[in-house]
Amino acid sequence: MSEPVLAVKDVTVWRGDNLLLDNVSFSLNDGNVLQIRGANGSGKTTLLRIVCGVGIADEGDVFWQGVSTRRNTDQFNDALLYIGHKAGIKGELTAMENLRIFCRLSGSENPASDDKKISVALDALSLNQKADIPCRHLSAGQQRRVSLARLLLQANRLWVLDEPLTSLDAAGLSWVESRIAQHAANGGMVLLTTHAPINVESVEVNTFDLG
Amino acid sequence: MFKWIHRFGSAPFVYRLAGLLGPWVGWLCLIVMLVGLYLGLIVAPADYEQGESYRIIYVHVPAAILSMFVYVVMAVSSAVFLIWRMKLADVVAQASAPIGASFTFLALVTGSLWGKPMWGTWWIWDGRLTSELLLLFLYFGYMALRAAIEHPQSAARAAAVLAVVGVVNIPIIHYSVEWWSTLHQPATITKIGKPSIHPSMAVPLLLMIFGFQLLYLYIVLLRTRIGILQREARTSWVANLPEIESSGANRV
Amino acid sequence: MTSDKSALQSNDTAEPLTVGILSLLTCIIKREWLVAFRNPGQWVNPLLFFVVVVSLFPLGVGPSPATLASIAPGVLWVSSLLAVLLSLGTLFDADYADGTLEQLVLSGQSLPLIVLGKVLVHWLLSGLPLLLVSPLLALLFNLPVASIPVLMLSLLLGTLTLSLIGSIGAALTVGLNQAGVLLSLLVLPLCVPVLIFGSSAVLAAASDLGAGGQLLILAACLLLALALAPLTAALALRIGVSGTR
Repeated sequence: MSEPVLAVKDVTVWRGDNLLLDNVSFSLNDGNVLQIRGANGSGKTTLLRIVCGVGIADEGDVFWQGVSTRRNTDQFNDALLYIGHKAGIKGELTAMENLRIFCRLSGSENPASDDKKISVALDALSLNQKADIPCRHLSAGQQRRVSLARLLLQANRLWVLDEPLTSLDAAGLSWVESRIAQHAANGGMVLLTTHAPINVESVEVNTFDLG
Repeated sequence: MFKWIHRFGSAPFVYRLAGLLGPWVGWLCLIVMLVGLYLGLIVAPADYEQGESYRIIYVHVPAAILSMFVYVVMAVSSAVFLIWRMKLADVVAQASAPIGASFTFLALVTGSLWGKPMWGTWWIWDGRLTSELLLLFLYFGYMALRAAIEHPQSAARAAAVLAVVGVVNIPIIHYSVEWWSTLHQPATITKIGKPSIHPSMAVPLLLMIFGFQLLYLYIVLLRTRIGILQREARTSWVANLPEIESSGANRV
Repeated sequence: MTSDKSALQSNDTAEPLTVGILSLLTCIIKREWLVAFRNPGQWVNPLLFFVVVVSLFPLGVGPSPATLASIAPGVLWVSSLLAVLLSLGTLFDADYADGTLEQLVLSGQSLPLIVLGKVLVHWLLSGLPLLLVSPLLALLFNLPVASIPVLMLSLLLGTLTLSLIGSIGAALTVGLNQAGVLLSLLVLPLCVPVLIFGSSAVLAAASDLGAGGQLLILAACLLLALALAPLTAALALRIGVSGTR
């Protein structure tokens, strides 16, 4: 058995004198879905940020294909799609404009085909009526959908999703679940946190409990 | 070679080494400074132009030299910390900042005191004094940034970047200020001619510079030990130190 | 949705997913431009600040034309320095607050280039307006008309340099509470050379001396800042983003 694709090893984080994450270790391979569970304040977000490289662990490290992500940052970033606690969309820009930027940032140089893909994605999330409204005028659930539309646009191998289901309605929820299932079936990896248990067909969801 | 560097990355080793060296450096510093002060304040003759008041150079010049020197030490250890992630280099940088700021402040105060008999005014926008003042602001910035960022590791790295940026800028700032001061005050002030200083004055000056360096080294060793203890407070080797165990600080 | 599998695998083996320099730069510039365009206060306020601060000096110093003319280069330069630094506080803060900053950091694209794009747009919206109103203020201060081109040229070179230097400070203080004051404390000492050569260029021009040397030094400072500031600011941004929960 070779190295796991993503390995988190002995991550320890202190908050002042309190131990927030105590030697957390887990790993992911192609096709795996891992759900991190834990109460509020158990360090779920902190852990995900450390995995992505936008958080600092006091001890421990994250390895991508056997190499520390601090060393192969570019390779790791190319494979990573992170949707964080903050939606990561600009309120001044429309859904279309926001998603165009994401397409460009993820390496696409073909605006015409991007636009086509974006309208397909917005259709799928029933946002097509709202595509030309600045995002700050959308509801929380709609804004969440805009950022989740990236799941259809970017072909990254590893998804790291921090509470992707917050403020989504039933339809949105099942859409995300089916996307996760499909991604895993295609050999992608998903690392996510949710409060509620998720219901993903045909793919086994591993869980990891914090605190 | 690499092993040697590795040893200096080990906190317990440096902690013990600093504890061992500290007293020696402290005593040597005291002796050198006493000799330097005796030679400078009592043995050396008075200046034929400035009389006795020139003797403040035995404090002013070493403080000014050290103020720059400490910033360079701070920037170099910050660069080491950023490049090799050697945490002890950051401890040294953090320990140095307030010492450097104190030297800078001392250089400013003594420069101002010296200015009163020389120029008839407490402050003059002379190139060197202005550079010192800006250097003091750079130290303040470093310490303020460090204090403002809550996350200790993040604070350390941000401050390290600032120190390196500062050291790149110091020569530019220094020369632009020199240029500016000559532009605005055409040679009315004659600075003490460096080359023509008499040995009876030069020897105590050199001794004082050496003494100030020892003083810096002594304080930095002390502060590094404290910094190491603060950072490693949760580790077992700190808990097992005789001085910690006997103090009962870690008993629950 | 059908091509997922092949796309996923191609990612891993294919060349890195970086876009061209120009393509990335235009993307960022367009983004910044749109955001600023829909947020007009962002670029009007620094300009108003500049005009108000400059207008305060005659009230503080007295209206004598000779005094005003002699302090004008310094006043105009210090005020534009402060205006640029104040407006820089918002360079990364909005992106930090809505989470787009971490997306930019994680995009795998060249972060220094992204910073450069942001700084350029920021300068177009805050530095350039200062430059454009400066002749008017110069006249209010009795500066000789002949020195106005030098004033504008020095501001052109200088404010760009200040924006670049300031971006380092803005990146170091991203997400902090008292970022504005701290930013100024960090960056002002670094801005001294620009201030010295900028105001001295104007002073020289106002007293009919050549200002070529000062302008060349300002240009050199600009080139140095252009080469180093985006790299440093990008490093600082990575640190700043990771320092939060």
